[in-house]
Amino acid sequence: MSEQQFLAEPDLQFINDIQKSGGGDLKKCFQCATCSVVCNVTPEDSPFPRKEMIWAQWGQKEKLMSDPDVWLCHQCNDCTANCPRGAKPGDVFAGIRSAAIKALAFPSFMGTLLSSPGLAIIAWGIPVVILLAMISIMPGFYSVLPHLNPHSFFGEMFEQFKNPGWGNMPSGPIKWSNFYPELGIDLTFLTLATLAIISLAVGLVRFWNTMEKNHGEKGLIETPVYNVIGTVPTILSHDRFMECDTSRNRYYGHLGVFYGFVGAFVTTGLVMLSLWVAGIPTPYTLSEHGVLTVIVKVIGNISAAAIIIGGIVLWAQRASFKKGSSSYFDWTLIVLVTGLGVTGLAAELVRVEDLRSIAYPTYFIHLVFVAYLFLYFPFSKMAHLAYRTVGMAFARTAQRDMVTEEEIA
Amino acid sequence: MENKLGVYICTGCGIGEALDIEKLTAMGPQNGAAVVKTHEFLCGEKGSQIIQEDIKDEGINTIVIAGCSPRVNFDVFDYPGSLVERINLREHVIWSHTPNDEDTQMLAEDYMRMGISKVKKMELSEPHIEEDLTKAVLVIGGGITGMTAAIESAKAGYGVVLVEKEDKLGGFMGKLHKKLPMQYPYAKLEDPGVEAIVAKIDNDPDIKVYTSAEVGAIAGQPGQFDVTINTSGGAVNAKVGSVVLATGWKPYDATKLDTYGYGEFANVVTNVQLEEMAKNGKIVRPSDGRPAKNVAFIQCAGQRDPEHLSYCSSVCCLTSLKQAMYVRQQDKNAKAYIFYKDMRTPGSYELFYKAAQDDAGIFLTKGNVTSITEDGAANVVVEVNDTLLGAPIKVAVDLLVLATGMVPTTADEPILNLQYRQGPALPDLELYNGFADSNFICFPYETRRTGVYSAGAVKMPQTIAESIEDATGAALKAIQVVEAAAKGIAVHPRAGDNTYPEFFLQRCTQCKRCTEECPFGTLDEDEKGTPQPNPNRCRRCGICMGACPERIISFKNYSVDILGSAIKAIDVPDEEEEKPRVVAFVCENDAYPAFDMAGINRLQYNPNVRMIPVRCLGSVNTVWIADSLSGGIDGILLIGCKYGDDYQCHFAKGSELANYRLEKVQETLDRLALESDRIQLMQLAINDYDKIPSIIEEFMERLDEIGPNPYKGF
Repeated sequence: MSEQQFLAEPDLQFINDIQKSGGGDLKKCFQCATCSVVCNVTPEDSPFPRKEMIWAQWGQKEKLMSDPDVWLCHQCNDCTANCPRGAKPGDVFAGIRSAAIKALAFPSFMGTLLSSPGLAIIAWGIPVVILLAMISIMPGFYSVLPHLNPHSFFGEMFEQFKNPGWGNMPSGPIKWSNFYPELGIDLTFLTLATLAIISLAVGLVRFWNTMEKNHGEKGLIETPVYNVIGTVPTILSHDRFMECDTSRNRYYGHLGVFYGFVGAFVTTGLVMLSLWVAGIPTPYTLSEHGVLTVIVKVIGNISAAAIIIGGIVLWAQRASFKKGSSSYFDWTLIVLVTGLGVTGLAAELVRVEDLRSIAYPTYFIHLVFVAYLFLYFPFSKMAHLAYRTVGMAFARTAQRDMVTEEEIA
Repeated sequence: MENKLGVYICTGCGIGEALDIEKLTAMGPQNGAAVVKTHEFLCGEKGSQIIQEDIKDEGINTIVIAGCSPRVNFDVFDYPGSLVERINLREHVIWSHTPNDEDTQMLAEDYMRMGISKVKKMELSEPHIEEDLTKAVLVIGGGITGMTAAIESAKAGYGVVLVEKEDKLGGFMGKLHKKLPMQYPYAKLEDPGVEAIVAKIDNDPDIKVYTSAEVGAIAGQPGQFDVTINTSGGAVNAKVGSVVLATGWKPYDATKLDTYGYGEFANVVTNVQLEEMAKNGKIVRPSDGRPAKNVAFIQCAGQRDPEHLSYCSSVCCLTSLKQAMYVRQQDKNAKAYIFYKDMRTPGSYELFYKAAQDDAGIFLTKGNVTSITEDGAANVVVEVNDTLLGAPIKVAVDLLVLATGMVPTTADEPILNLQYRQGPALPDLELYNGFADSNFICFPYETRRTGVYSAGAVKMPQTIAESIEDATGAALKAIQVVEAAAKGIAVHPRAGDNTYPEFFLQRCTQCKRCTEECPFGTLDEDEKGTPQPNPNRCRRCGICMGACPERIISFKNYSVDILGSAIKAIDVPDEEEEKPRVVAFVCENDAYPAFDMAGINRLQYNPNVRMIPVRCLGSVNTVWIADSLSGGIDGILLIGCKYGDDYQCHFAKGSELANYRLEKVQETLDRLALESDRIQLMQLAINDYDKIPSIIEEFMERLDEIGPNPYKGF
């Protein structure tokens, strides 16, 4: 049957969702298409954001969930700055992306948890509880692995009960593994990472399938993997951010945070390799470990600095937004990024300065941030890293995102 | 009264340098002037003093002022009790022709002769004031427009008779659930508040209200209308001075809209029916009485559609936006769809549109409705394509609302029931789809019946806010006309003119051309067909004068004889001199000012044209054409306003009638083997002044081809 393909009836709840996550002005759009004209990153053929704006107005959830263009947008806010009606397409797109991450979330309650400001306490409470629980069972590990330091957090706590006051921490140099042994750390976070990767993979497959279904067979080129790889130069170079007129500073902010995380990832990898392959536990000292110490310290500290500076740039950019606002979803990510950097660096400083009274609590807070990041990667704005990559890859597969590629080349 | 002529020539503004003033001065005594004076600044204090003194000391009572256009300094050269003729030496002579040229000088001299010969034939006019005048205003229609007109007239101190067909005042406004916002930010619906307005009228002793009543007849003229009001208790008579027609609109007959499922599906209603439901407290599905949650609106249902109403009713988009708000207020999870051809929300209501658009549950798109069907649950299923979303839309709704349009009450009823020779209704309303409009682009509220002013939705589709403004304007016009009648002067466009047409009835042949052709229905007839003037209905255009084959209609300062003498005053050179002469009858309303503007802009045109200003091209009597031709004039131009459906004629029919008459003359000329091209009518809008040189030049070239008038020299 070759019946006409009608649009779905509007999903009022979906409209409310977008409005709540930053797209409050979406109904103001009167389809003049100024946004699509001023956008520097849209493909020329059937450009965004105009068409997405009316889909959003008409609650076309399915269409927007399966629209790669939503992810080609880098939220420059050139559209928002130039919108004659104050409809803020940049924010609407952010709202659509939040709603998409929420809708594609697996398990789906996680989407709700991460997108509801009212549930923030629970969202932050879960990593705290997990970490406390993990730390509390640490003593069991010590019996299995006696070569590791036998101190435990609760042992320390016990000491403190005997001698109240943070000043009575165990003697000797501050050592994180006294608090949370390496094996415990790696088991905890590798588990969280695995769960996150599974969740994310489900979300991404759903996303790809829905895009494919909506797009239809026509015009798809059969090289998805190649196209995922094809997005890498764009992502690494951050070229798209350079296309922005209105918020050019985001390029530096995002670049700092992005490479800061890459550096942090490399540092962690080096430490893990040296522990589990070469059997060298932390902390490293220059006299004992030489080059390894230099490399780890240099990369680690530069990364931390990049994350903090980038985070502050993004933070300042958001705070001073005259054009375009920011939602809970956005702010959570910025708080998380900046918090990660700041607590990481602070933990290092208090350790070096031997500020025993606040050293372990600082480290604990840092771990909470890390756990939050791992645990919620697929459901928070952090997931944009994956969804955007897949969206861009699909656009390439649909031979859609090529024009700007050429321009960049 | 003996005419004593004074001729005053202004030499300012370059006139003195461009013309031989001595020669012009010498023309005074030759033409019987008692006094001839020149002054370099006649419109200045000393200049006008000279004239004042001559009036006082010399007994001058007939004044010719040769200088600038009569359209300027009319306040300076105002001498009550004296006849004044202005000769336009500035704009029409020296500013538009070569200075100190023989042809320019001849032009100026011709104008001097023409002006003097005209004024010598004029007489001072005394206003004609009827007896038993009344200043009360009859307002027909008790909706918001009529009520406002009544209140405003009464506030200004004029008695009002208000006639309403229904049993209570309020009209459509009284049937509304909410009305559109009336003030910034134009976002929130308001209570109609019709009760307060009705109470104001009830408490006003100057307003006499007849409900359940209709106007049976209106006879007479402004200041003296005799109105018969048919009430439930029998006929009542009232005397009024003017009429405000505010009978509004009625909804388009929805039974003709079966293609939209009206009458076929239970849950298809009109916007008027929805309003009624909302007013009664609940918007429901007629099929089962359950609350309507999802509602679709189709705009332009039977509008902008050659099969139904060809026009836009201007308020239905706003009404649907408003009613969509009702739907959303009834249930916060409701959806309201509006499918439109074009969303039209005039003026500040753009803000209202934005307010509705901001509601998450109001869905707006342009589109073509392709199918309306019913599903098993009596939902109406609407399919729309060519939408803004780039794909067709299908929605199943509880209720489909058709935004039907406004039909003016004047479309099929005369309403006024005028006891006029030309019939009971306003004429030619088919030009405006039955609306009581006038296409008087510069004269809102006017109808083609003097003293009758239309306002509100009977004039054109409009909102309550516009109707209130409209009603106020119409009330003012209604007041103006009774005051003008009291002074015996004309209302626009010759406001203040105290002349009026006089009929030398002994020579009337009862041909009825004047009674038929008057665009304003001024003239009634007795049984024999003799015209019976009603001076207060007259606009003083002179179209009757142009029509009359017996030339028995004249004004004291404007007649066939007066203008005929001007034509005869033109000095026609011999054929050998190769100086053709053209007479141009130029409409005072737009064409004459256009020539002034040409002068102001120093546009140069052929100096062989002699302009004669006329009140309206319709007042041009064909005898002037015969006079011109027999006097050796080579060509004749009639320059006036545009005619046709989008006419600009200030007297509605004047230029069209002139053209009709001219065609007859041209036929006659062709029969006599004279070149009909010698006579042409040209339509000139006021902003066409820059085309004047080429228009004249083309005509002169054509004349050149035809050759000189064979009657020249006879």
